[in-house]
Amino acid sequence: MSDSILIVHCAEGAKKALARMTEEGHELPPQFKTFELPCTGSVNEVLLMENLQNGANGVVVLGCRRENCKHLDGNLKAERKVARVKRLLSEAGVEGKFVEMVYAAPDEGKRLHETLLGYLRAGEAEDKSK
Amino acid sequence: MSDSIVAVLCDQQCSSKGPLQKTSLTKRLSQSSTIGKLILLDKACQDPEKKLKKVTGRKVLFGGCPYLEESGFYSLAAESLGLDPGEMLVTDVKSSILDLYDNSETIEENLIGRLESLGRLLADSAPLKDRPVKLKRNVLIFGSGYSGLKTALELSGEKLSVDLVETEEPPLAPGCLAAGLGSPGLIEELTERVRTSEHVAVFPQTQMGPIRSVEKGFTVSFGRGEPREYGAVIFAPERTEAPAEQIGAWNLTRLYEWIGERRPIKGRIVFVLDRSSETPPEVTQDILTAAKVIKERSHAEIWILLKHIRVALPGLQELYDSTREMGVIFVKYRNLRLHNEFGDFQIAGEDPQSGAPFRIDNPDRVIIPGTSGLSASAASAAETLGLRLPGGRYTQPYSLWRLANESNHPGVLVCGSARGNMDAEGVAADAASVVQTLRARMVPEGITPVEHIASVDADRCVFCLTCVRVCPYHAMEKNIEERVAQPVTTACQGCGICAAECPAEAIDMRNLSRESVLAAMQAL
Repeated sequence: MSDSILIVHCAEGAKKALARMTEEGHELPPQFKTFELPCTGSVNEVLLMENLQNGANGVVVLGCRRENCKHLDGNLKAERKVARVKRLLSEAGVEGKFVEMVYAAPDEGKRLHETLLGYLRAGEAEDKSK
Repeated sequence: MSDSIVAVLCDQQCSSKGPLQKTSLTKRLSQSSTIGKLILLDKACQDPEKKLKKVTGRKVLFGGCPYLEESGFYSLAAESLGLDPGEMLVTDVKSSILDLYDNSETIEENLIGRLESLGRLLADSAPLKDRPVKLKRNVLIFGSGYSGLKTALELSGEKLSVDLVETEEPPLAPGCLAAGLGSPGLIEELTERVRTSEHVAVFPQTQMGPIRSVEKGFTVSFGRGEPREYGAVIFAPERTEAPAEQIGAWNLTRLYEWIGERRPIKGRIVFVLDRSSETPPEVTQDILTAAKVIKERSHAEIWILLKHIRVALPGLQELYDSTREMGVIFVKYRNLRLHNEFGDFQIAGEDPQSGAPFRIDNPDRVIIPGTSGLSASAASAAETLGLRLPGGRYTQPYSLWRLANESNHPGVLVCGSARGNMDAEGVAADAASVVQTLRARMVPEGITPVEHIASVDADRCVFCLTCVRVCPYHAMEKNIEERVAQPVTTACQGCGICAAECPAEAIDMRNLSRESVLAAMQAL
């Protein structure tokens, strides 16, 4: 778990987007771990913070496309929580840890891959600058 | 190695990264605290039975590719092993492990992490002993008006057995539909389709005994027959209207019949609202719709006399505006005098502000809406079904319309004009909504119940009703007596939104508790 980036994704659109990404041949570096929940709406602040505390470098909450949540607006609820945790992290001055909300439709394999790698690169750049 | 959980994996021979290696995986798993045994299925897609025999009396963690899931392999295996949904988990190791990482070392490491993580979740999970209550797949529809018939037809396509009670009152009363303002012969056509449908049985209300509430449903006997059991009752009564004043005026029901006969309409027609008491906006809506239809069809002169204009219904303001544009004359009155002398009406009144008198001589028709309400039989049915209405009484149709389709009982639904004035599209949408709700609540045989349903810790619940507000499925109910939220297990879809939003942390998802999710994430 340490120094990894945890992708918490839903069992619907985001899971399909991840599967599509791998089908298209886009692989992820070993730092990424995935964890499936029924809906990203079931993520809460405690869960995000605990994971960061347990050594994860970052948590990416990966939900369905904005209007396409199976459970109406679970993804938007997750976004609000991610925003709150982000604010808490910045207020507490925590560096080198991040939480991000990513939306992905099942046909966005390539874009999803680029987005995820982007977080890794950003983290590496931050490390070098220190 | 613990001995509690068996991991059964397809060895992924077809993968471009090469098949999984049992020796190295078993070696790594020997450190595992949850996975006790690893079975690799070669040719999982063809001959799994022999190897599955080695799995007995344990929880199983299945892993394979999406194809294996689509082929129904897991459900067949679970059935042959006698596994409950709480005793197994399925993970897609192909797209989320093998294809996700580039080298075999990372793949193995992550696969072990995944197995360990899900093993922890599975170790904490319990078999589903409290399966969701399944409503019986028999439905009783009370009411044979447009909404009752439409709902019966919608449900007949759902492989449900549907009984329809034809109410004593002819299917006529409210709105513009039954009055023939919609398509002529609409009700007759629907009645014919319902009568010829093999999934719908029609009973006259005269034969209907009282509705009795039993465990998981209702029973009703018809005539001398055996009591029939129902999982759900759809309450689709007609509104009825009392006769107008005994001065030769018509009520709305009579007007509808007249319009429905499609005879020529001419002359001067006067509607008198707010006569003995305030006319409710729903009735005003009926009147304006009728006025509009008459204007569209003829050159009749239409007067609408009222004390106040009320627009407290969606779309009513627009209806006012459009009828006024069509030439309907609105007059506010006070001290209205209405006489019928040998068939000649005399109407006189005063302007409420200036006091100036006005007269309308010799109108051809005077229409005064009668008090409308639920018929006595519908009201008593509502009472037996325990419909809690905002007005506290069952005989107030204008409080009934505020009810949602879903009443306070999971097996009782209300639809059609009982919920307010609707046009044909509105009623069709209402019927579809009822069908959707029932579909969610009547779990068909052979379908696995949702594994992660919400449960509320009554000691922690502070009755803030956040869960009632956020649940996308209306699967959280208020238990007002005990001041606690409670899940409707048949409607819960296991998304977990309520548990995440609950400020008191009083809600837990079965087999997906906070602690086990955190432990599982930690094990990755």
